[in-house]
Amino acid sequence: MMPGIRHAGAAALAIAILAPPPVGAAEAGKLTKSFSEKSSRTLDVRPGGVLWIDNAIGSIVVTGGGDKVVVETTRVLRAVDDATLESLKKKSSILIEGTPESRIVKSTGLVSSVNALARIDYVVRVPASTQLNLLSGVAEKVRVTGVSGKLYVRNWRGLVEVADATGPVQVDTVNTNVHVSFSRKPVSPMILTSVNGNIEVRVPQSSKFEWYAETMKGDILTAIPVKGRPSERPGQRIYHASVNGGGGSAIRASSITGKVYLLPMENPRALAASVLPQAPQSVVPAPKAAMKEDVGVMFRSVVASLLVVPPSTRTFEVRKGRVAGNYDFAATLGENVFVGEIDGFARIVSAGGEVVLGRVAGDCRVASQGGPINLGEVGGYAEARTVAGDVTVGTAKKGGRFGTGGGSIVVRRSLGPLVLETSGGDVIVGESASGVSAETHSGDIRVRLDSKGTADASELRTGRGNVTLEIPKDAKMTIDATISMSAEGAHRFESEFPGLTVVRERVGDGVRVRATGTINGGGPQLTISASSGNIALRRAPDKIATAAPAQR
Amino acid sequence: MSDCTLIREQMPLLLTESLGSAGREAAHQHIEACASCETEWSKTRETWKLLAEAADRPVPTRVRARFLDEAASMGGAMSRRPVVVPFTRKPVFRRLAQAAAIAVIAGGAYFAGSTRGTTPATGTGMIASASPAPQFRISENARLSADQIAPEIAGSPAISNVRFIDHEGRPGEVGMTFDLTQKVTVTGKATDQSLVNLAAYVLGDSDHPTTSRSNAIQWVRDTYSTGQTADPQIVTALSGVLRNDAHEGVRLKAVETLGSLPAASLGGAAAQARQALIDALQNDPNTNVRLKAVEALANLAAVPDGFDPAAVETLRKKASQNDENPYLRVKAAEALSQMNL
Repeated sequence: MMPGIRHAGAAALAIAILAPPPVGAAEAGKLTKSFSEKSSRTLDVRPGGVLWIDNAIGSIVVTGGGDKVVVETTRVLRAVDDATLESLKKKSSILIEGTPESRIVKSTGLVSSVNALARIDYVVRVPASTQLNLLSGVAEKVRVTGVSGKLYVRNWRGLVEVADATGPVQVDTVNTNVHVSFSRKPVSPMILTSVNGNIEVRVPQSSKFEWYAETMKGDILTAIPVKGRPSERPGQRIYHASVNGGGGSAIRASSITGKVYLLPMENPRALAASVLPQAPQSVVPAPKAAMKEDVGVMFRSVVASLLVVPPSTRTFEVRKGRVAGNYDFAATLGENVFVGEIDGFARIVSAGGEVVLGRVAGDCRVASQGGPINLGEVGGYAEARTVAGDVTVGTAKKGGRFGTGGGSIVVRRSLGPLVLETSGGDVIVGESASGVSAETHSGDIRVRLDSKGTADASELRTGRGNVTLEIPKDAKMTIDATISMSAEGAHRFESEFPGLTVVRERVGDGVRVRATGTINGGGPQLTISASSGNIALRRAPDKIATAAPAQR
Repeated sequence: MSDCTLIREQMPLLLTESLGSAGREAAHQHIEACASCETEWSKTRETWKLLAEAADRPVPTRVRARFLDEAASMGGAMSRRPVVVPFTRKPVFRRLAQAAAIAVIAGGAYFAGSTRGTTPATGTGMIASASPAPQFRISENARLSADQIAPEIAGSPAISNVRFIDHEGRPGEVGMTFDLTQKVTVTGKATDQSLVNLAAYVLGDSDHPTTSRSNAIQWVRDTYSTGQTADPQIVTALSGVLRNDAHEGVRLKAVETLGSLPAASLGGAAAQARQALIDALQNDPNTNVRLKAVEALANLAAVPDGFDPAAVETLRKKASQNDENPYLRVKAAEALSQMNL
C-alpha cells in the first residue's frame, strides 16, 4: 500500500470488528437481572415542526416518510439484583413535552454503571420535512435516513450515520465516527465535526459542491479527483476544494485527531489518498546536516489508523536520538518533539506540543504555541518561549531568555545572564553565575546566585508571591527591596545580612516596606519587589558549587 | 459616714445591680425618703443613660499607649487588684477606669502566664486560658470572659486597634476589644476537622492575605492529595480560589491541586470541583490555567461514575473552538479520548 493511501473499504471491516461494544456490555456479565419493555406512541407534530429527542443512553434510528410521528421505544434495564432492577424501573422513563410546533421527547433516569444499566432505544418515523434535533450521549448508533428538514445530531460515543438527507445537516460528535452518504447529489449545506472520530462523506462522483476539511492530528483524504488548496493555521491543516467545479452547497468536515474522508458513493472500495502536501508519514524535518541516529517519525500503523479507536496524540511525535548538525524544524502539526542530542544549533517552532531537547551544543531557540519546553543542556545562548506550559532548563551555559504565558520556569544552573518572565507561575533558579532578571505576575521567585552571579546586577519582581534570594555570605551588593502589602504585618522582610535600613510607610490603603542599603560594602544593584509576599535574603551554603539546586 | 454619703457611694452599684438584695432594698428606701438623695439618684440615672447613648469614641493613642505600657510593666501585683470598676459620672474618669480594668486583666494575665507556663513552645505571644481544658476558638471576633482568661500575657503580643466598650446591657461590665497578632501553632492529624477548617479558611481568606495563598495551596496539595486525607472543605476552598483569585499563579496552583486530589475519595465534592474546573476552562483568561483545568477534568472523569455530561460538553466545545490555543484543543481531545464515555 502506498504511503498516504487508505483503503476506505477496509475501514468498514475494522469498524465492524472493533466498534464500541453495546452500552454496558462490559458489565453485562454481572448484570444478571434484566427487564425489557416496548412501547409505541404517535405524537402530535405539525408538518415542518421540530422534534427533539434527548436520550443519554441508547440508540436513535429515525426514518423519514409517512405523515405522522410515530415513536417506538425499547426500555432495557439490567441490574445486579432485583432491588436495583426495581429502582431502575421506577426511575427510568420517557417524558413528552412541548407543542405541536416543537415536540420534546426526553429519556430520564438512564444510567450505566457497574451495578446497573438503563437505556432506551428509539425507532422513530417522521414526515420527511420534520426538523430533527437529536441529542445523544452514548449510543450504539444514531441513524437518520430520508429526511428533508433541518437535522442536528449530537453524540459522544457510537456511530452516527446520516443517509440521503436533503436538508441542512449539522453533526457534533466526540469519540465517534460520522458517516454521511448521498445516493443523489447533495443540495444543502453540511457541518460535520468530530473530536476524536473519523468523518466519512460519500457522494455521487459527479456531485458539485465546496468541500472544506480540517484536522489537527489526523489527515484529509479523498478518492474523488479534486483540485484544492491546502492551508495551515497553527496546529491545524485545512483543505478547500471546489469539487467538480464547485458551486452549490458547502460540506464542512472537521476532526481534531481523526481523519476526514471524501469518497465516491459508487465505489465503496475506492482508495483514498491524502490531499495534504505533507501526509503524516512524510512529516520529517529537513535538517541541515545528516543525522547519525534517526529514530524517525513515529506514527500509528496503517492498520491502527483504520480503527475507530480514537488515535492517541501521544504517538504523534517526532523523536530523534542524535542530530549531527544543526536542527531547524517547524512542527506545524503540533507534534511533540523529542531530540536526544543536537551537535549544532537548534531552532524549533512548534504549533503546540511538548518540546524536549536533551543536549544542544550551540544556540537554542524554541518557540511554541503551547506546551511545555524542557531543555537539558544548552551550550550556547538559549531562548525558549511557550504560550502556555512550564519551561525547564537543566544547564544554560551562556544564559538565556525564557518565558511562558502561564507556567513555571525552572533553570537549574546558568553560567550566563538570565531573563525569565512568566505571566503566572513560579520562577526558580538553582544556581546562577551571572545576573538574573526574573518577573512573574503571580508566583514565587527563588534564586541562588554564586559569587560570580553577585558581580552583576539582578532584578526580581513578583506581582504576588514571595521572593527568596540566596547569595554568598561575602557578596557585595547594594540592596533595594520593596514589599507592598494590604495590611501592616501581613508580610515581612528577612535578611541574614546586617546593615540594611528598613522603612515602613503607608501608601494609599496599603503598607510598603522598603529595605535599602549595602552589604559587605556594596556592589552591583540588587532590586527586589514583591506584592503580598515575603522577601528573604539568605546566605547561600558555603560550597555553593556542589550544593543541590533549589527544589520546587 | 452619713447615710446619704453611703447611699451616694452605692449608687453606681445600684445602677449596675451589683448590690445585694438587702442593700438594694435599703438604698431604695433611703432614696425614696431623702429628697436630696432622690435628686442625686435622678441625675445619676440620667447621666448613665446619656453615657449609654453616647458614641463610643476611641481612646487617644497616647492614652492607650500609656495604659498598655503600664499594663506591660505592672506585673503580678495587678493581678490581685479587684476587677471591679467604680462608677463615675464624669466620662473621662469612667473611660480611665475602664482602661485601668483592662490593664488589670492584661497585667494579671501576664503575671500568671509567666508563672504557670501554659504557653506553647512555639508561641511568641499568647493569651492563655486558665480553664483546665480550654477550647481555643479561632474566629473573627473572639469574645472571652475576663475570668476565663489566665491572668498572664506571655511574650510580647502585638496588640493593636484597641477600643474600649460599654457594658452592652450588662451593668458593671466593661470591655476591651483589640486585634492580637500572635503566633499560634496548631498541630494534629491532617484529617482533624480544626486543621481542615483552618486550611480552608486560609485558602479562602482573600480579605486578609496574611499568608501567601500560593504557599497555602502548596501545603494543601502536599497534605491532602492522598485518598485518606482529601476533604470536601478543601475542595470548596480551592474552588473559590480558582474562581476568584486575581492572580494567575495562584489560580494555577489551585487548579493543579484540584487535579491532584484523589477523585475517588472526594464524594459529593467532586461535583463542586468539576464545576469549578469547567468554569475555569470556559472563562479563565490564562491559557495554562485552562490547560490544567483540562487535565484536572480528565482526572476527575477517570474514576468509576466520574463521568459528567457537562464536563464532556465543555471539553468537546473547547476541542472544537477555532480561536482556542491549539495545544489546549489537542489536550481537550486527548482527555475526551481517554474518558470512558
